[in-house]
Amino acid sequence: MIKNFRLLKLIAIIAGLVSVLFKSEDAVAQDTLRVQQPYLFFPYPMQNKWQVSLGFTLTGMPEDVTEEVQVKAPVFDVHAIRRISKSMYLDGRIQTQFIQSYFSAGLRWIPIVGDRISLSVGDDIAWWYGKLNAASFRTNASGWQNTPNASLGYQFNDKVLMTLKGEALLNLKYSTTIAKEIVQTQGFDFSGVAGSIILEQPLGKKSHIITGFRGQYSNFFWQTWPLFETFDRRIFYPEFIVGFVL
Amino acid sequence: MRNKQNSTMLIFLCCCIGLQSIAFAQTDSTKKAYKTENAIIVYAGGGGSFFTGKSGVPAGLNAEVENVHLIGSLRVIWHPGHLLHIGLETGSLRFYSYTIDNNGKKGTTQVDATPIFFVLSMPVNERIEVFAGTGNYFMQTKLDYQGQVKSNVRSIGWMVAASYRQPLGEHLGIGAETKWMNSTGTKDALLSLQIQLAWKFKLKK
Amino acid sequence: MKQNLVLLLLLIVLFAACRKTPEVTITKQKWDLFENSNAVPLVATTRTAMEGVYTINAGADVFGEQLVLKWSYAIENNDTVYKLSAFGAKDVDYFLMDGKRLGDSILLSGNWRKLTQTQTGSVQLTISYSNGGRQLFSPSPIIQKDSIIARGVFGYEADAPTIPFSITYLRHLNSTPFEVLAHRAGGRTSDLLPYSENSLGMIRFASRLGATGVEIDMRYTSDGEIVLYHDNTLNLRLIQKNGLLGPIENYSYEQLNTYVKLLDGQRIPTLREALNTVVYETPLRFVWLDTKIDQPLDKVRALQQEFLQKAAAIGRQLQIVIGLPTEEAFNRLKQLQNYTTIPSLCELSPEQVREVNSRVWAPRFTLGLQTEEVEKMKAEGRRSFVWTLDEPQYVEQFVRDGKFDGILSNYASIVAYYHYAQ
Repeated sequence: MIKNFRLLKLIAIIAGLVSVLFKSEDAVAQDTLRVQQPYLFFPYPMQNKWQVSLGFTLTGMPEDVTEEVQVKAPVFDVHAIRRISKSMYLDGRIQTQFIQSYFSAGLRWIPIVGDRISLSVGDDIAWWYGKLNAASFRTNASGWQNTPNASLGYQFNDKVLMTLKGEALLNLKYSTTIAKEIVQTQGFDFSGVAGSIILEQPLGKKSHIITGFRGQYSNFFWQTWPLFETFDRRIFYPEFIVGFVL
Repeated sequence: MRNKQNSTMLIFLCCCIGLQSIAFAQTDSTKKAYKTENAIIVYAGGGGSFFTGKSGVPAGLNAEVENVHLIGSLRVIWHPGHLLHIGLETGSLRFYSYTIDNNGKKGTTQVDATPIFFVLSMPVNERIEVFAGTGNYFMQTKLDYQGQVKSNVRSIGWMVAASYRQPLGEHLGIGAETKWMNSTGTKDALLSLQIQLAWKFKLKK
Repeated sequence: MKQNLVLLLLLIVLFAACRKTPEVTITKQKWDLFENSNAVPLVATTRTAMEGVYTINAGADVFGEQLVLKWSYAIENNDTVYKLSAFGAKDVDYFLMDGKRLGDSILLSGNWRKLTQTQTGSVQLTISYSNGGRQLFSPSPIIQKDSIIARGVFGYEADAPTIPFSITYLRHLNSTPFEVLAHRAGGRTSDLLPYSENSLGMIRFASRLGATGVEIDMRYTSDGEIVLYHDNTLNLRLIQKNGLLGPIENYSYEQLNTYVKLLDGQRIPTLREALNTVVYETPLRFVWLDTKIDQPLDKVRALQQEFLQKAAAIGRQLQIVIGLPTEEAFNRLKQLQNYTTIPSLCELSPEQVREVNSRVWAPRFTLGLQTEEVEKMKAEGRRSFVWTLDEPQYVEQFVRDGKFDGILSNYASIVAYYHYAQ
């Protein structure tokens, strides 16, 4: 019964996506499709050489990992895109909660640009670290991750840009240290996947806002390293993204 | 429990896709993005709710569950004339209640909530508007069994709603709203139908 | 914009649909030989002689290089039930088997599980007369390397066991005194063990996981009863849904006993029930009472004294200590008369340990080995435990390189493995 409902839901989702993305009634003239506003996630050739946003993300930690203690601390987020050519871009991001930070950089290639739909593929390498040296903690940790990704962009009108992004999460290496004497290391592991839906649109007359939701389904999430969680199963991490384009 | 929730979600989803189809099927003049004037709109609603989750009644205690209750909500939304409509919502609701008879010892349990949400909304057309919000449900258990207890807890949750509004004048509108509310932390959810009054306060551009 | 919200809804639904609730299903496989009416329970000398460190010959790719085998008992419905547990390091392997003698052979039948995952299966082993049975049936068994070989099969999930599995005796267990302490009476509810955390069922199960002691969490009800419960509030992580929300301290014991069931269906036990179970139904020798209460400790102290006396009266070696995890609990202990004579376990600084004369110092594992401090504690006649250590690589290093006298873990079996296999 439950499996049937899941199947029905998935069918409804696919039908909805198809109906929205591929309906033909809304043909609009070519010159109104050119994207006039700044964006970071939308997979479309950029006119500017640089684009930067500042914002934050907020993740709902799963109960299995944090139990009753639900500390929702936002992560400060700086995202930058640098144009290399019309279809190649450098994508860099810094996320930090000060005791722990995540740095990623990668390439993004935009091979398909249509009337409304565009596609990019990319690959990011990330390094993260954390250090907790207070109260009963003398711990630090670091790791490397690789996230191949693909984004599908859809332009609704001259203001609203939607991006659907899928990522594969590969842990390349991960180690933690206690009091500089006890070390735990882990090698390559296919951690899981993540999917995001991002909206980029004007906010007021002069600024632009990025809002989005990212769902990560994985056996590791860098922000939870101080919890030394040992479950070898994938858990869902919902993440809200807010950014303001500079 | 999951089946009831699944079917409710599916029905709601179909309504959303249906709404979307209605919007797409309309003529060119209404297919342009519906623009609102710069205003603050206050929505006040009241009606009935039906609990769609699992009430979790203890087994073997001759329990009688009540899933239908009254609900009220108050929402303030800023329509800036641009695309993003944001606001706040609160209200008062009872998810469910039940009574037990434990070998002659009777008890009643009520699960109430006061939600406080951050809400996004968008008009589909001149009459129909959809809302989505997330925030906190301030939950309260009222237990009367061998003593009375009022106990509170905060739970994260969300809601989605769709309303139809008919203007009665320049400022006032009346309509109906269907809403699904979900308290994620306590796994409580309900579907409500409310009559709604809306008052528009125009702002200078 | 209208499409935006619809698609957002669709995506939320998608994620909701994809989330799976993890489950562990243990399937008992029928083994005709084992159910033979001529199969009889093993005697004490056989059971004790079987304990040891074993090399895995067939099945090492699944279960690792070695297993530690150890028997435990629990009193169930006035019957003493013996079970053979096997602990491994790979994925925190854990086996739980029954043992019988049929003719000249020993039969072992049960299930296995990887405790960090949800993977389970069944196992069936035979020790023939010529491969150890002769020695094990002897009134004074002398067991040497390779003298016991257990051969059989294992399977995955509900499948019948058909994959070859065999183990060979390597050496006896490490006999250095050490406490293997099971967190929350055995493990967390999220570890998907057969029982909920902090329950009577879990207390009885703890020794099956290799535990020599348990840590349990205490809270007060509104009418002053002390119950076992970890979290501040009644929540769906621990209990079945019943509409009761908020702090557990808001409810009376009768209200909780009537309305609340733990996820596995048990009631929330009182501290009295828990200590009664430990003394009369398990072989556990250490109880750590974690005081999650900021109220006078007189009742706790009274129960501690009562059950220490009861244990002594039946010849049970048992220590019950009042845990002091916070400054508040520390100060509450100091309000008791003759607090320096009360058996306690202090998680705070070594100076505070000495101030209240705690029997045990228990620092968090994230402070490291702290060898110097631990040795000072030993010199003072105190023991040192570390908590709550779950990561297998850390457990191995703490057991190998540390000087602690015990480790508290949600995976008592991995602590038992590394300790006994040393």
